[in-house]
Amino acid sequence: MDRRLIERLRALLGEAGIVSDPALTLPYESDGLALLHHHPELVVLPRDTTQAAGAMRILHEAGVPVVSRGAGTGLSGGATPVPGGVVLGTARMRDVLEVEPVDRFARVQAGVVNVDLSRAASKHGLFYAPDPSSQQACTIGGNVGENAGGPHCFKYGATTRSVLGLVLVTETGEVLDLSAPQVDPHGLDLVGLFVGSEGLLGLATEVTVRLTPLPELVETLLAVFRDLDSACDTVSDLIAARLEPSAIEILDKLTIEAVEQSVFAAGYPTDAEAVLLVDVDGAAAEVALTVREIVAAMQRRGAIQVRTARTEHERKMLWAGRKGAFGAMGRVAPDLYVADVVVPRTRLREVVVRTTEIARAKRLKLATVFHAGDGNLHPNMCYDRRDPDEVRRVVEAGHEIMELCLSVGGSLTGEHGVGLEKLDMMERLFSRDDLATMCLVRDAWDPARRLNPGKLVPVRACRETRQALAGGAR
Amino acid sequence: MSAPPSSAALAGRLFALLGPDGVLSAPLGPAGPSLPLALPESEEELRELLRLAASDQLALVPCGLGSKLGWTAQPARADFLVSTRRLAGVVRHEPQDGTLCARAGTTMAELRARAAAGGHWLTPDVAAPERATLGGVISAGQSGLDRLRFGPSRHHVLGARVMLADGTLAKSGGQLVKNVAGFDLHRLYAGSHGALCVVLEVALRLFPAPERELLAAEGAGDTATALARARAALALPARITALWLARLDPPSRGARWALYARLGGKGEVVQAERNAITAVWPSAAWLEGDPARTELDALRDCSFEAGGATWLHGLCRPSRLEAALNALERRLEEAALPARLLIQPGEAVVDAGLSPEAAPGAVAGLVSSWRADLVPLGGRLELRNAPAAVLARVDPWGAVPEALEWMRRLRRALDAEGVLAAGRLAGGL
Repeated sequence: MDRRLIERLRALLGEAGIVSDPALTLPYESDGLALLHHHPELVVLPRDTTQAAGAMRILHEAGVPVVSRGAGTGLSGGATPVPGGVVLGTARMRDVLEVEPVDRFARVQAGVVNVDLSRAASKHGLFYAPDPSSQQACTIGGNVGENAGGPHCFKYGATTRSVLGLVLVTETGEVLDLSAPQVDPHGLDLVGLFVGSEGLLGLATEVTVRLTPLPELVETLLAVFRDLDSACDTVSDLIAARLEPSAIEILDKLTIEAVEQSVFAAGYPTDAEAVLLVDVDGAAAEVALTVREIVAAMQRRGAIQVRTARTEHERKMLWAGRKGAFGAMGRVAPDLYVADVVVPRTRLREVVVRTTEIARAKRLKLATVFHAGDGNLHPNMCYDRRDPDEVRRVVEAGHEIMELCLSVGGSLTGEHGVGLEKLDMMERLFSRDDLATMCLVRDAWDPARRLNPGKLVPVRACRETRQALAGGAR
Repeated sequence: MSAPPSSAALAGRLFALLGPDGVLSAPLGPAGPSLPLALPESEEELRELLRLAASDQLALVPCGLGSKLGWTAQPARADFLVSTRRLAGVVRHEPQDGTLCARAGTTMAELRARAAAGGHWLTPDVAAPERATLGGVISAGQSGLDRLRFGPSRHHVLGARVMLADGTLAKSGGQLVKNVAGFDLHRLYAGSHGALCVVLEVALRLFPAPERELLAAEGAGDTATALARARAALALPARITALWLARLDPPSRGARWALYARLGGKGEVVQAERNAITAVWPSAAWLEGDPARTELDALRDCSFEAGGATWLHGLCRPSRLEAALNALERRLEEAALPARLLIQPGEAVVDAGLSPEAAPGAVAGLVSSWRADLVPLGGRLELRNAPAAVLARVDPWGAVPEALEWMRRLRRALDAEGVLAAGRLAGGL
C-alpha cells in the first residue's frame, strides 16, 4: 500500500483510525466464512460520517478498492478483503444518536451493535425487530448491507422493513443525507435499493430505524418430535392454516446435542430427533387463541411433548439455545459451514430430507437449525479446514444444496447475502439480462466497480452482456 | 428530440403495430393533453412500441388504467401512453405458501378476490380496486388504508419482472417470503411512476384473511378531541386494520369529525379488540356485514369518486399531526376553500380533497402555505389530480429531493435514450 496514501488517511483519521500492522490486520482477513480469506494491508476505522466521507474521497482519488465491514459476522464472504484494497470498518461508529419514543424511531451510527439498539429502545417500551442470531455482535450497518433477518422476521420482516432512512457515503465521498424518517420516499426509493446491496453502492454511516412497541404478551412454545419430517410438516401446516406466530424455528438432533453440551444449554430434550421453537406475541386474547391452535397442530403431527415457557427466564433460555446454536457447534467440529437457502414453505420436508442425503453421500456431519416459518434453511456442515478433502466435500455439498433449492423454486440466500461465496450461482438464479440490469444500477453509482468488487453481481455477466449489446446481439 | 409528430400520424403508426383494437386515446391526467393510448396484448408488442419510441425519438408514459396519471408533474414531453391493462392475469398463486404473482394489468379487485378465495388478505386495500391495476398501484407506490396494520405496499413486493426502455426483460427478487439474492430493484421501481421501466409482473406476500370484520364509528366535535380519541385507540394492544378520521360534506356521522376503526381477524380476537375500543370510544356505533361493507367502500373510494377533485396529500411526523391539521384548517379558512378530509393518524397521512372548480390561484396559495407549514413538522405535501391552471402555479411535489443527481444517474442507466417520459417525478426527474 502506498505510504503517502496511508499518511493522508492517518492525518484525517488519527492513529486510532488506521490499522496497518500485519498482526493487527490479520483478524480482518475473513468474515464468518473462514473458508474465504485475504489478509488486508490496511484497515481504516472512521469515527463518523465526516471522517468516512473524507476517507472515501481519498480512496476514490487513489483508485483503491474499498470493502466495508461491520462486525464481520457475515457468512457469505461479503466482507472478505480484496487484493490491493482497503477494509473500511464501522467499529468506532457506535453512538446511538437519537431515540424518539413518540414517533417510534431511532437514529444510530452504523457500528451500533444490534442488541444495544434494542436495549436503548426498551427503556421506552419499544424494540428493534430484526434479530439475527449474531445480534450480540453484529452491527446495524452490517444488517443494512445484508438485509439481515433473524427468527422474528417471520412476523416483523427482514431489515428492509425496519429501515426508515440512511446517511450514505458514495464512492466519490459525497454524503447523501436520507436520514429523515418518511412515511413514503420523496423521489426514488434509494433507501429501499440500498438495503441488501452488500456494500456495492456505498457505505451507510447512519441508519434511521423503525422501533416497534414491545408486545403485551409473549409465549414461547417448545414441541418435541420423534422425527424431523413431522417437525417440518407441522410448519407447513401452520403456514397453510394462516396462523401468525412471530417466530417458527426448527433444531435437529445434532444441533440439540451440541447446544445442550454447551454454555447455551436450554433444556432441550436430548433424546428428541427435532424440536420446534415457536414464539407468539401480541395482545393477550390473540396470543391465547394462536397458542391453542398451534399446540393442536403440533399434536396432530405427533409431537411427543409440547411445553410452554413458564417464566421469562425459561423463555430466554430456550431462545439463548437457538441463538447460540452456531457457536455451540464448535464442540462438534473445529469449523462450521453455515448454508443459507430458501424454499417455498410447502417443500420444507422433502428439501430437508434431501439435504440430509447430500451430506450423507459426502460423508459430512449435518446439523440443521433454521427459520422454518420463512422457508429459510440453514443446513450446517461440520468440517476441519486443515483437511483439504473435507473442505472440498463441504463446498461440493453446499453447491448441491443450492442447486436442490433452485430446482424447487427456491433462492440462494435468505439472509446471509450472496457475497463472494454464491457469486457463481447467481447465473443459475438470474438470467444474463437480470444480472446486466443489476450491473447497470451498480455502474450508475460506482462506475469503476471499486466498492466491494467481485461480490454479489458477477462481473463476467456484465462484461458479456455489454459485448453482446455492443455487437447488437439482442 | 424531434418535433412531436401529429397525433393522427402517430396513431396511424400505432394502428399498424397493434391493430385498431389496440389504440385508443386518453388524457395524460386531469392536467394533460389527450394522447394516443397504446394497448399492447403481448410483451413482444410492448417491445415494438419501445423500439418505435426509441427510433423516432418519442417519449411515452406507461400506465395501467390511468387513475394515477395525475399524481405526477406533467412531463417535459410525452407523445403517447402505453397501458399494460391487456397484459393481465394471475401468473402463480400459492395459497399454501401465502404468495401471489400476477401480470401488471390485473385489477386489484380481481387479485383481492383471488387472494380471498385462498383464505388470504391482499394489501394494499386501495380505492376503487376495480379501476386500479397491480402495475399501476405498485408503480405509483400506492398504499391502502390498511397500511396501519400491514405497512406500505412496497414492503410486500417480493419480486418483479419488468421491461426496460431498450426492451430488455429483467427480473429481481422472486416469489418467496424471504430472499436476499441480488439488488432489490423492485423496491426501486415501486413508486417510480414508470420512469425507470414498464412493470410486467409483481409477486406479493399475502396475509391471513379475517374470519370476522367489524367497523367502529365514532364522532367528535372538534379536531383536538378527534385526535385524542384516535391516539387512545392506537395505543391499545389491538391489531387495528385501519383507523381514520373523516370530515366529509355532508358530515358522515352527524358530527364535525367521524372516526373509524376497522377490525379483522379471528372471531374471539375481534371481540376482545371491540371490548378494548369500546373502553376508549364508549359511544361508538358498531357495524358488521353489509352495512359495514357499504360504509367502508364509500369511505375508501371517496378519494376516487369525488368527481375529479384535486387532492392535497400531506405527510408529517405522527407527533406533529395536530399542528399539521390545525395549520391546514387555518389555511383552508384563509383561502375560503371547503375541503373533505381523510386522515390516517397512525401514519400521519392527511388527504384533503378540493373541488375541481376551486379558483386555481386560491388552490396554489393553499398548497404553498400549507407546504411551508409542514416542513418544520418533518413533513411534505404532494398535489394529486390538480388541473393545469394549478400546476402552472405550483409544483406537485414541492422541494427537490435529497440526492437528486444520484437518482438521475439511475434513470440514465436504465433508460439511456430517454424513451420513458422525463420530468414527472420530484425534482423534475
